[in-house]
Amino acid sequence: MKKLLTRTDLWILCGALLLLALALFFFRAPGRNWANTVNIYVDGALYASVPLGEARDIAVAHDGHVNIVAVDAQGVWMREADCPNGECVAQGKVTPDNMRTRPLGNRILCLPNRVTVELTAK
Amino acid sequence: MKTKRLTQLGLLTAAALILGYLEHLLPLFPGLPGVKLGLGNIVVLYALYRMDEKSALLLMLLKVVLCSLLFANAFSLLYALAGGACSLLAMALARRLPGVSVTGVSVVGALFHNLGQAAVACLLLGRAAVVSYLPVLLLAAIGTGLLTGIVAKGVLRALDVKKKDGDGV
Repeated sequence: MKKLLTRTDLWILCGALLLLALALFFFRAPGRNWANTVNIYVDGALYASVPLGEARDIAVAHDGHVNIVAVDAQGVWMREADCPNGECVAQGKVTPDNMRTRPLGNRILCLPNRVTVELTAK
Repeated sequence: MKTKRLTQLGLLTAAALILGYLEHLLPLFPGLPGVKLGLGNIVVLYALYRMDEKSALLLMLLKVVLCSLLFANAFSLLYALAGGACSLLAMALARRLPGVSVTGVSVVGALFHNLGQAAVACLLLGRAAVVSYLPVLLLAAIGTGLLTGIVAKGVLRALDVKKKDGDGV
């Protein structure tokens, strides 16, 4: 075939790629708006869902174990846990600003107690 | 409606349905909703280039409604209608750009198809759900748009019907 892509086609393609770049820049790095809810999962099932905002603690009790999830306006963290290694507490606070760069991303995992805390958008 | 146009549309609709069925049988990326090959658009492009815009619109509507009813569900119909309408409008306009060929028009069509669907998803699911998926949708649209455009170009050249307004393909 003579010409697969004309000059105008290439311009369209450039425009499309530009759009893609913009989308990647603006939408893959979420701003504060995109993370406003904390979901807590126990054994994979949703246990509680609370919005970021008012400071509060959620006690996750199951199987004789307790994890205390703390939420405030800036983010979420594991305040206390009775698991053997306490790694979940050491994982620190998840905020909309750091959720992209933390190793575990937007999650805090307590593996022994099978609790997952996730900062996400509603 | 003239008989010739009627039969042409009938044949094209059948072709579009078969392509839709093929796509339905062989899903491209199982984990990615809304990412399709868009083979049916080859037929729409044919109608756009070798018939008239009204026929292309009719074809798009038939294709969207029938494919959704046959191979998917009511929700998918809603998305597909939005996507198809945006896509066709954009393609009809893109055709008027000087120096454009089927390939470019196809990319535009694919882009707006996905954007239209994303817009509906925004309304139904909320912005957060859609927004991070947008780059995937756009990338898929560019890829499939190029692919189907090149195929459509080959089809149009091969069939070599007398061109309506002498535009190069």
